[in-house]
Amino acid sequence: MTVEKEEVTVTVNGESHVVSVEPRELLSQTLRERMGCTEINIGCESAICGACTVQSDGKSVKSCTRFTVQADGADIRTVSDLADEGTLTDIQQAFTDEHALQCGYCTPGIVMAVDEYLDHNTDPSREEIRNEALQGNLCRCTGYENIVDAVETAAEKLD
Amino acid sequence: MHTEQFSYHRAESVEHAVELLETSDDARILAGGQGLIPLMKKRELTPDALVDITQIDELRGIERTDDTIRIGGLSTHREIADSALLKETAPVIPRTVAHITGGQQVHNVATIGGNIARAHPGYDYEGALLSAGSQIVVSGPAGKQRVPVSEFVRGPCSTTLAETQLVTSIEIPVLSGDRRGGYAKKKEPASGNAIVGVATDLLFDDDQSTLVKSARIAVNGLQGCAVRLDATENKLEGKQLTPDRLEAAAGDASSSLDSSAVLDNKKASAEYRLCLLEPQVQKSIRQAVGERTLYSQT
Repeated sequence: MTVEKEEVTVTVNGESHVVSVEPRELLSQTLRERMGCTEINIGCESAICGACTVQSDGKSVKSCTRFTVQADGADIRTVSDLADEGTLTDIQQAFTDEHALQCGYCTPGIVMAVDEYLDHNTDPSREEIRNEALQGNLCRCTGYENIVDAVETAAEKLD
Repeated sequence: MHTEQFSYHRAESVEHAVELLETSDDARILAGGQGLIPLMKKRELTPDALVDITQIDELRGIERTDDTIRIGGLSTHREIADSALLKETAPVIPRTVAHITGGQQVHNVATIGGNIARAHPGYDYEGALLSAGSQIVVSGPAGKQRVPVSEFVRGPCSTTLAETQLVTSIEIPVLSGDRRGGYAKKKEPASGNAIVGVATDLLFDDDQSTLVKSARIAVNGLQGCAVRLDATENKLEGKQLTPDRLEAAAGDASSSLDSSAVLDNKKASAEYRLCLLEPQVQKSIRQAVGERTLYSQT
């Protein structure tokens, strides 16, 4: 089956791109393979693990479960866009301080999800952090305890 | 991981979407894609064409019209969970949606129309929609149709939706009084889907009253389709709610059910599902009752 390619305009970390893609091309592939955004990690490929999380128009989404054509006109941010010339954001600094990662594969996705979550809920309980903020992400190293600590610390700093 | 090839079409209106569905051999609707894309990656679905409906504005929004709440089919889980109108008029819906698996990333894009069109027994919405007395509004070549959710879902992952139809909205009747909702669920640990999910829609006169004017309680995940718990409802309706009555009503939950229709698979045995029913019914009713004080009968 030959299919027509679709032209998609997408802004990634502040830079506008026009790409011609097969409709089946995934946003995660476009970002990694065409734009070099290898900070997006591919885990389960099925909307469960959240390692590929980016923000699309300020909302976190799993980029492995979006077709690039669905991102036409969208403003995409990856974790690389958070730090300001090497100065980490409060969330990133809290992850460092609380040792909230071991292998680090899940971290970029978690940071992007938490970044959105703390915009809506500035003072979450530990239960809310587990059941809401981290619900869409899996970590297979830490057992989550230090991640919850880091989100708590970040929320305190953001107040 | 790629899906098979497909052609992509962006629909500009409901009529245009129906036209596109009619002109393709094997087309599917693309809304949030959170159910569809993983199935296409696994080659469980290999449509020739996808019809993207996300640009159709008339499918958005949650509003009240006289005695009905209309939820546009493209309303996301996030919009529904946050809707002040729904919290007030049909609280069982937002209570339930908060339990849907996948996290905020999925809730930001997954839609109510896509969820109910998939009709997966573990997907939480069906029981809540059944308890709230919802109608599914579908559009197709013959125009608009309203189908009660109990008729819309035929079995696990099966609905009456024709290949040329799409879900355009959900309608929920407004009831006068203090309407309360609850949802309690036992999750299947790997998927987060419901093994048993109990949705409760209770109506009282006001926020102090303990007289149950109407009780609609439905369970999803237990059988292929969501079912109402008639025996539990009968024990509550028209009665003063006391702690004893609440427990007795929950204890009766399985008595009106066809136990041979209970799902029995690798996710959970039928016996396990039935054991989970009573405590989940209790939890769900308690959540709906909320802060009001229940006095024991003397």
